[in-house]
Amino acid sequence: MMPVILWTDALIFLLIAVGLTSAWWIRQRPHLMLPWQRVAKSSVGMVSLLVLSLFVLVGLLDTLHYRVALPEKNNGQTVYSPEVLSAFDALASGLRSRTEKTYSAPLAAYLYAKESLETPDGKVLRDYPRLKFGGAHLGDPQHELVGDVVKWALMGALGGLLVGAVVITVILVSFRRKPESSDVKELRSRQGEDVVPLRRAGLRGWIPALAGMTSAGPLRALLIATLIIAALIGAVANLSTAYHVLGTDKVGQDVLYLSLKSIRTGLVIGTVTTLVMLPFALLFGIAAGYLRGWVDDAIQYVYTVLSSIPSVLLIAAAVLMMQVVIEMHGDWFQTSAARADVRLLALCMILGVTSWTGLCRLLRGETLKLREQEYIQAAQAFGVSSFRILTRHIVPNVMHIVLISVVMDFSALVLAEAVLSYVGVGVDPTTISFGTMINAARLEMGRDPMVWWALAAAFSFMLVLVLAANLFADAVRDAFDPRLNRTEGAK
Amino acid sequence: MTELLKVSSLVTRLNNGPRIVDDISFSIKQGETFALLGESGCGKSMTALSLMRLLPGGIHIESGTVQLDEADILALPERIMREVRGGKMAMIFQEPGLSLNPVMTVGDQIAEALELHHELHDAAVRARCVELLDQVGIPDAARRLNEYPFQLSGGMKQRVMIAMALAGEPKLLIADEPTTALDVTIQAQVLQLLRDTQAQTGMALLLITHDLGVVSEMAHQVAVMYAGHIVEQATREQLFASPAHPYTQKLFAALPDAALGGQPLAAIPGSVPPLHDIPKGCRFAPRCDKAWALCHEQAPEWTKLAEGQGVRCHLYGEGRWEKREGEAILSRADAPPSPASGRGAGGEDKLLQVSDLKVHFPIRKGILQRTAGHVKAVDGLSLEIQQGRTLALVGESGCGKTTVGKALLQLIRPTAGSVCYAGNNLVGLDAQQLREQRAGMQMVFQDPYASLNPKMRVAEILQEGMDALAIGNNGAERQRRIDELLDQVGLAQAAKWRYPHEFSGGQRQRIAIARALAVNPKLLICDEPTSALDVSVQAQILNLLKSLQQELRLSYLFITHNLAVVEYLAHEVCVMYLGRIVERGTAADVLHNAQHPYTRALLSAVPRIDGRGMEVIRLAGDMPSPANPPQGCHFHPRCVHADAVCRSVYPAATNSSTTHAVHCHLYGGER
Repeated sequence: MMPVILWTDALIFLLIAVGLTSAWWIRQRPHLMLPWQRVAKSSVGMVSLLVLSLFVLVGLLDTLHYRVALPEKNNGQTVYSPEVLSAFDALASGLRSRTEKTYSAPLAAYLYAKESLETPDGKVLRDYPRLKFGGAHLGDPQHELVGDVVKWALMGALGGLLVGAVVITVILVSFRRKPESSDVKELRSRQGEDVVPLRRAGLRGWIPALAGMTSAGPLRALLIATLIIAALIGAVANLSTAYHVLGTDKVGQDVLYLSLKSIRTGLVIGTVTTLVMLPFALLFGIAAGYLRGWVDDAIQYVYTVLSSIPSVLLIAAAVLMMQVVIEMHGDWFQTSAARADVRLLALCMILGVTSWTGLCRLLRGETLKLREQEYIQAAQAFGVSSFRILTRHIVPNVMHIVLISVVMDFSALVLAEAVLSYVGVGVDPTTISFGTMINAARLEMGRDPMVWWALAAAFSFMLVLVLAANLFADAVRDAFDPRLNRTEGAK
Repeated sequence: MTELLKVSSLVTRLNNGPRIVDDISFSIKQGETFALLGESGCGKSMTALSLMRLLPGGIHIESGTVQLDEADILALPERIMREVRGGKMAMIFQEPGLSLNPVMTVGDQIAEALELHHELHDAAVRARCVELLDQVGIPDAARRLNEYPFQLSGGMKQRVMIAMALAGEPKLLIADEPTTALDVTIQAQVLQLLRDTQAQTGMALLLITHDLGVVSEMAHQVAVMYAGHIVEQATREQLFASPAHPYTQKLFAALPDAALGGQPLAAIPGSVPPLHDIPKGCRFAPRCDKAWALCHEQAPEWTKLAEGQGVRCHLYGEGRWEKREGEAILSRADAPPSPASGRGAGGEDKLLQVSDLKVHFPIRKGILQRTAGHVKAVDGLSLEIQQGRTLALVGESGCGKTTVGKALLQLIRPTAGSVCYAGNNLVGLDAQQLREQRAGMQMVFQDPYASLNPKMRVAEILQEGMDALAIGNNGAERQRRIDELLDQVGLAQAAKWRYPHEFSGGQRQRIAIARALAVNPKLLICDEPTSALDVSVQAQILNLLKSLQQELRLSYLFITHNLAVVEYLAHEVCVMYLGRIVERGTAADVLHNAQHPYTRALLSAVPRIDGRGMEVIRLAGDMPSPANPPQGCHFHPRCVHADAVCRSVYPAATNSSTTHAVHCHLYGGER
């Protein structure tokens, strides 16, 4: 096995490293911790964070790429398979490998298209053939299917609940042990008898203790959400061993697998594009607004020109050029995955470079307003340098706009990818993404009977992802707005 | 006279929240002016909106009755209520600039009200509009009908608002701080207009204000509000002769006055309690120096004193006479003798010397942005400030006084002239050289809500200047300095770790002062530092500024339009009109022996609480635009003494004494 680090992987690792470093940095400083503690107190924020982190987890698993070593050797050297897999592929190998012939509806036992079948007595029938994997264990699917699905789902849900409960217990215990070991006295005085049954009694003591804990807002919401999600995941996971939960697509691939794989593409397009776009928008926006004069003129001309070119045209031109470069230099890439990945990265860059104008304009306007504020003038009277005024006074006060528009853009970008795939300048055809799924749905929706599940799956995954991101961003924004929060005496 | 409006036990509250207006009763007779007096946040405006039933969402009237002309306002269906609004009661608001629709002509806006209430049409409407504008004293009414609000000045807009309110011929006019946003000379015009209109139409006027001066000029009856309660109600004569409630007494005492000399003002400590944190017992008790245990436990009942006067205070309960008398004598005696009077304590060394300062803003026109003219915001201004003295720069809005402050700090680069601070000319220095001089001069801004970055904590705000100017060697030293500063301005050291929004307006202004002091300046430029604050808080800040001056030998350039503040604080005064100083001298010279007609008009326009005051000089019209100042003396279009010379030649300075100079032909050699 050989680990492979694609370009986008590297960027994602970089993002994670930056995230962890800043988290550590913030932990050291109580006044910076404070707003995050407020986020932790918001039920909506924590539940959406939970959902979001599940998506991120899938995306991260899908980011750990490797190539499998092949059994045969070439002059003593290990030969690796040309196919690049990810940790997620390994986990979902069942989903990946169980492909049908073509379309099948969610949880179906039959194919969605009639075929000529030869009966044992030699007649040729046109009927819906059985699936190779979906419901293959059933003797008489027409009668047994519903009951069997319910059975599998319930068993899975139960298993999920059990796992969820175990996870919660482990977390709660480690949560409680920590302060106990550090300062038992203080904890006791704070929480009263609550602690005692936890340590002495067995299960009977647990229930009231848990009930006591769950009365607190976010914790209770979090527990309920965890259990629901655990049950859901359990049910889906269990069902997916015997059925295609979300059906299969044209070439018989499991739609659930496609949807889960799409998450990484969506996250990459959403975050990496933002990463490319943000410096442009932030720097140019506030520089134009604050410095005025020729800087303002120059930046305004650039973004006015840029935003008056139809963006799809601009992106298409850039993507096509990039495509030509990639085609001409096939030797740059060892695997097709690497090539698709570079194309994805290039798409992010192009989207980023062309989409900063909107935010830039917003920020310029806001900065124009802020620079007349008296606190900016007070800073100028101290001789504070322009750079420091920009970073200390202007940037923190436009952050709410950045946060909101970045989250809004996130969904727009995922959709933009779909639109571009439709025009044929999106991600590489081999890359699985919401865009390619939606693009394929163009034909599927026109079929009779309609194939709706691929679109529905892409739609609901995107909806949940974007909604969770929006709600979380809302909670963060509220927590950081000092006007909405009274300091509970930091320090 | 019959009672037109009768409000009894009105309670308005947030849904499931605290009471904003708490058990208010009063009545207004026809042709009478009833003033509702109080600081911001006391529920004055909410009372007015309750009467109109125009409360914002989330607030509702819980109980009480409002009777207007025998009709129960609170029981009327909304359909009829719409006729009452504008038809029987009309309202004018504080900010004339925001209460007119900017995309409709003045005529259309008045016509809208007319058509609603009188079913007039076309020609008749137009004729009535002209009549109304004439009535509110707008010259050339027929032409003004077709103008948009932005073409009118602030005073004119307020007149238009009054005309709109009068369109429905209301019996009751509610005026919510009608002159707070206006200059004194314009305020005098508007108040006069309200009085004249009342005399003509016999309507009743509910005047909401925080300004005791306005009350004394306008009101027949006065109710003083505090934290949702009416704490005292009396006729104007009774109230001004013998204020009963400690709060009212304090409000009078907090007014700055030259007679106090160097003594500190009787500031009321603290500020109005927030709605969600209303104290048990008497609401004023935490700020009252006469409060005793009972005040903190039990809310006082309404006590009737003389005919027409009532008060909500335990001091006037049965058998409390002795306590009150004793306290009253004590409180008068405990005013400390003035510490070494600030006046005359100044040194001879000139800290700041400004000569012929000019700030011109180019007006650009056309595609090529060619300069078509200049707005001469400051046009040849000279002044000097000595160490430890206060120079007040007085003028109405738009005269360029704020621009002067910013030009001195080089926040706006002057077009010409020199600014010498401690012997160094600041004009034309580059950023680096300027930074070396920055520490000497700092600014305190007008609006404490806009002058502190909401995302920075107090410690960071105070540290910023020290960091930028490298004051203090290390972090620990700076932190010590921050503690010291907070002490100096009277804030707890715990304030360091809080964000500005957690403080009241007065506390914020203290933080702003501490920020300026952080770099050890010798000169503070205070740009209307108290105009956004309530009277009682204003007194706190003025006291603070005065004590800081004595402690640190600071010099102040005090930019203001409030002449009462000038009287209290300033050693020297410069009066500014349209970018130039028209009169300068010591405080006594200018305020008690004013010579320039403008200064006199300004002084006479200030409403006085004691009713003394000189013969009132009404100024016609508004200040001309600084882009196109009048020929000759800038003031001549508004001056009653103007003659041919005034119209052609700008007057040179005439010294009437060694300290007193005036730019006016009346005192020139040729007259």
